[in-house]
Amino acid sequence: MTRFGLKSAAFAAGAALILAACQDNPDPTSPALASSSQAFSAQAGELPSATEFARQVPGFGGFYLDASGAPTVYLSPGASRAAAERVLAGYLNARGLATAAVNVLEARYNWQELDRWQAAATPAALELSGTVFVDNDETSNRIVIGVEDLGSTGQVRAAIAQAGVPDEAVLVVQAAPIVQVATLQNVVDRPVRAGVQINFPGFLCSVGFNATSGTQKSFVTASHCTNTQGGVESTPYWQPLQSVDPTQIATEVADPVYARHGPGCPNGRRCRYSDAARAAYLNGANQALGLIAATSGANNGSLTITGSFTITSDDCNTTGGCLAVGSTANKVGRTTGWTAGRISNTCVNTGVSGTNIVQLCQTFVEAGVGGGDSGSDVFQVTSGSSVKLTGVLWGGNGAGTLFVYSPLGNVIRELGPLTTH
Amino acid sequence: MSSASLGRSRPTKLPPQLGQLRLTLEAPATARSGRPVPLVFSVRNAGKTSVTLQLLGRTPTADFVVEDSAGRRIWSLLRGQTMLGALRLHPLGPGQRLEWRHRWDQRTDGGEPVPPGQYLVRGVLLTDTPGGLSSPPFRLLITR
Repeated sequence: MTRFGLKSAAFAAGAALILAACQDNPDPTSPALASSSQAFSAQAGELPSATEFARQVPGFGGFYLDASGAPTVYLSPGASRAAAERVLAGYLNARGLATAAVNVLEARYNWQELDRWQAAATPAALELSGTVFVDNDETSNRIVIGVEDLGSTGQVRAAIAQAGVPDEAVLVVQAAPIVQVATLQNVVDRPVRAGVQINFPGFLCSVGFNATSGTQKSFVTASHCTNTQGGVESTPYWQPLQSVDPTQIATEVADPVYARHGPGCPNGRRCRYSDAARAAYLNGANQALGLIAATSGANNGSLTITGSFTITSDDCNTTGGCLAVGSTANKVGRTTGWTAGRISNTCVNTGVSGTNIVQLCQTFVEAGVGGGDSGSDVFQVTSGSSVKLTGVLWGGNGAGTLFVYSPLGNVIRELGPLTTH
Repeated sequence: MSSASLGRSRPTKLPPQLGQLRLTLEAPATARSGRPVPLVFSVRNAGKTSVTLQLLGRTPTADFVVEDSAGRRIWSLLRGQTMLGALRLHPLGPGQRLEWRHRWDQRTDGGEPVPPGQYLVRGVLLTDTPGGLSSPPFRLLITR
């Protein structure tokens, strides 16, 4: 016998999956339902934060694991080792270590002092060109300032002395400049290559491929990567994000509507042969025609851009494309990077979950995909970094193990002739 | 009925900015064989600041998954479905929640009725994270 007493209206929708906006109802579910709830918190046996350490251990000056992995604590002369051992008890127990394993070094400064000096030194030091970092360094019980050129040491020391930081509490070391790693998600890519992230209002997708229609320099992405799937609404695009670079790069100019009653379209459904749309660059110089951003390898999870693929040929101009089941297809997209796998099905009429849309004559590939990869270029590697463009990715299964793309022939059938390289 | 019957919760690693989310799967602890089982999956922002979720598709989508006592996945709502691959930026303010409901008909992906026994049920929020964000498993007993 079931033991729940739900209000009958609550589940009147039967098997339908319902998204309810319950923001005005803190607990819409029946109290007769039990629940399995997960709150996310730090794991037992992990190290306490330095702030927590300083709060519980008077005279604390820093904590780190030395080269052999031994817990090492800076304590001021006369400070209690026992207090430090108590704070570390959970961490030590979890690793089968005795409290005797803790090394104690004499601290000249306590953590709060160093914290305060780091805050004071940061604006003063980083204002100077060539300063790389300002660290409250656990291993030296000092403020460590990294500079590209040690010739600037005097200038740095003078600046932080003005900020009230004692000179003897500071070490200046040489450091290589820190450069941000350019990934498919964060790179401001100019000119814009295929595979990098684009943003339109409220969504993220990927650039499919650059294409010129007549003389209009453009890129192709998925039709559902526009304000409305099917139909032109002049969707604006930014790359990688409007908040990162507020200059709009392109505007949607082509996106055929989904039609009912066309050949092969089931009753009550709306159909197209491609989930593809075209956006025209506002500045044609931003188009990297024929280039696809490349990462270090297929199916390795990397999103770091290491080079480019060059489109040197296109798949056939036939609906359904000309790639056989069993051959390999690749894609580069902002979420899962470069993935590659076997084509498992061709010319599949594919219903789209949660919609009345059917995409006609699509290709399935057994390769990784994730939310945000929509619009990605799909290609075959012909030799080295040369590739044949084969289509535009638009979807996949919920597990992220199979992607679906519209073959290039389908895209051209609906968007018209395109120059891709 | 209480959450005391829960078991096998395992930590879920989330990016720090998502640490304030609470993922909850609610269901009756027991259900008679053959009767539809109501499932409620919710995601709540328990923090004091807004969180922007990155959700798969044009509309926020969640899956429900049932495993048997041996840990074999026997049913999922979205199995065989083709999802749109856009990523929706969905702000969730403090105290706000998203909720999905479904009635599981106690059948496997293949359409076979499941036998009485213990089952584990999860809700999975589809995001840009591989596999999505899963609630802890809820232990459901199906009786004769």
